[in-house]
Amino acid sequence: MNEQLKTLENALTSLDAELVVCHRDEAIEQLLEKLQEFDHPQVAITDEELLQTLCIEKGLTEAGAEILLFPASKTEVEEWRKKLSMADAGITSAFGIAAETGSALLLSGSPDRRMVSLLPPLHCIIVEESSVTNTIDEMFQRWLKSGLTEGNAVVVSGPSRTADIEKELVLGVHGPVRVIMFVIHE
Amino acid sequence: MSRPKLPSDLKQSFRESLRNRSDVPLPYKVNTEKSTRRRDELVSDWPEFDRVRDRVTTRRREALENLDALHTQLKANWEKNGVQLHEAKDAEAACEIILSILQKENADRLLKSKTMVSEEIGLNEYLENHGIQPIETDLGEYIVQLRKEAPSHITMPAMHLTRDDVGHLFEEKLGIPFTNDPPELTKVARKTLRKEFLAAKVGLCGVNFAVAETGHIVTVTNEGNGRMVTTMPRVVIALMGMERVTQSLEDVAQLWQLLALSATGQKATVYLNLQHSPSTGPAGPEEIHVVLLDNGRSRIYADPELNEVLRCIRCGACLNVCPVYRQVGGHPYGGTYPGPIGEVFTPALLGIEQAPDHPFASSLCGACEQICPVSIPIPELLLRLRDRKVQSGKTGKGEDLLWKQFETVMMKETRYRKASNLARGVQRILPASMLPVPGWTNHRDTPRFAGKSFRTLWEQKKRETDDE
Repeated sequence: MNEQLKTLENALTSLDAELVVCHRDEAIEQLLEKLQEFDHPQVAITDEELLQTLCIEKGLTEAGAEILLFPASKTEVEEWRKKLSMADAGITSAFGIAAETGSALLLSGSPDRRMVSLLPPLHCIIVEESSVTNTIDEMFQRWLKSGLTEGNAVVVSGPSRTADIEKELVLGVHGPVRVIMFVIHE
Repeated sequence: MSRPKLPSDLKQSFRESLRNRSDVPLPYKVNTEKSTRRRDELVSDWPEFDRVRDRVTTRRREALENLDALHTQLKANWEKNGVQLHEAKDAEAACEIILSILQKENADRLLKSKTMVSEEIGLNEYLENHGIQPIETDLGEYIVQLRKEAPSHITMPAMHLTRDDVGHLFEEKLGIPFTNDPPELTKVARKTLRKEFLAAKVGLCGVNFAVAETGHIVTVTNEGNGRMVTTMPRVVIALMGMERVTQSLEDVAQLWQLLALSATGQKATVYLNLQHSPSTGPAGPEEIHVVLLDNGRSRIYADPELNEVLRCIRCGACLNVCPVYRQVGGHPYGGTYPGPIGEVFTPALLGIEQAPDHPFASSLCGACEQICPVSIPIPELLLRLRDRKVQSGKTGKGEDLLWKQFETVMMKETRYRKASNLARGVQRILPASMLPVPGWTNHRDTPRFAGKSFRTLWEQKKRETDDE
């Protein structure tokens, strides 16, 4: 692991999030390992390019997972939202990751993918190593240059948390309880 | 929850707060210290902190200097992005706009993420009076709403409560068995509110920043409720003060990091939510409305003595370090914004005649200015407001007379000498306890003059030296 990924790992540890660094061919295996606590995991995935390249849908289906694909039309939305809220995990990619703070920039795109990273208790983020920058400022610089700023976006740094009762840290309020970042290392 | 009211007598309000305290260190005292400690640790590990703060301060200042142009740019982008703009000159107008959006959707409830501006306009009470149930979804706000209270802190609304308080509250209001375990209590709130999120027709969020260059509406959150209310319902309303405009996404990145640091001692909050446009696909909100609120802000903007207060990004750090806030907590201040920033913002918004004592609720120790991420000179602004109160002639007759006499004595050397000799004479005859100064001497001794004046000592010494 290089310095940058070590920095990322430290940042994620301090946020109670996890890092998996793996080769392209190992991505599905690594995902399955993290999903093994569920019998027949229900997993929502987005239509992002990297997830298609890695054949996540096929790999997880073959291993017995039920895949919740994005709804194609408005009539399916209600049903999809209900299922999504019961799903075990949501898998997305990200535009970039800032190592120092463990922050991932997710572009919601169109259709709106934001619910996949929000409703299930486990959020898996898969990116290629080239998407990792040192700082938030650098990540934003890249985003500004990418021509992809016209759209909804969210920066995620670890699992949802609160300290509203006596400043005691509690993980998993309204968003995911657990966040795992998978960095594809060439 | 009631419309934010100001206490008729601020001093009395503070006194009551002190009288009601127990021996146990109060939660807000402990909690403010915890937040500050984590922030200080991060700052000491961040060598560029001062530089970043200076840069962000400058950018906020420039944004306000160019507010008109930025508004024009922002509005054009909103129009392009399909965001519907509603401008509200005051609280009533804002409430009416929000109500009409809810009625159009046939919504009987409004899912809210944390927004101090909604407290400022008394939105919850207004909606309840019109048969609509506002539902706070930030855990702290949810707790204070169940207690029918106002938040006691800008970023930690329930910080005045102990875990037992929350446990008893949930037992009574939600009918669950008593527990004082924060993770258990949080789970209850998650479960209750998840149902609401899934069924919500309309959501309302606060706005930390709006980006002129792109039109992004930025909300900073840790719990994810800010994401829920802006992602799940068909209609989203963003309620923002008109001063919260920033130039670019780059500026947002820096402001956000300083905000996280100052508010909760984090390098980054869990979520930075950037709304751009309504969804065109099957899922996600189909309408985004912005309610742009003035409510006294343009008056502050036009006031060169006070308009620096508009740089504020509502991190609440000045509350955490304030020796007054740490003693009395947030509620005795009344209004919406407690602590040092409230001592400035409340009278600036409402006029000094509405909150004449707020600028005096400070020891002027300067801790607030020192910690402020956008370098607002709070003590200086408090002095300007104090001066304003004096100029308005609202001070007591006794105080006026006292200062008049002081001026008379101080302006002429012979008078000063006579007066201080007289005071020394009186002091020799009467004990300190016989010389009370109302208010001042309740907890202090009357200050004593030195036995001999400096001038006398100087002349004595000079004579001795000359004699040698």
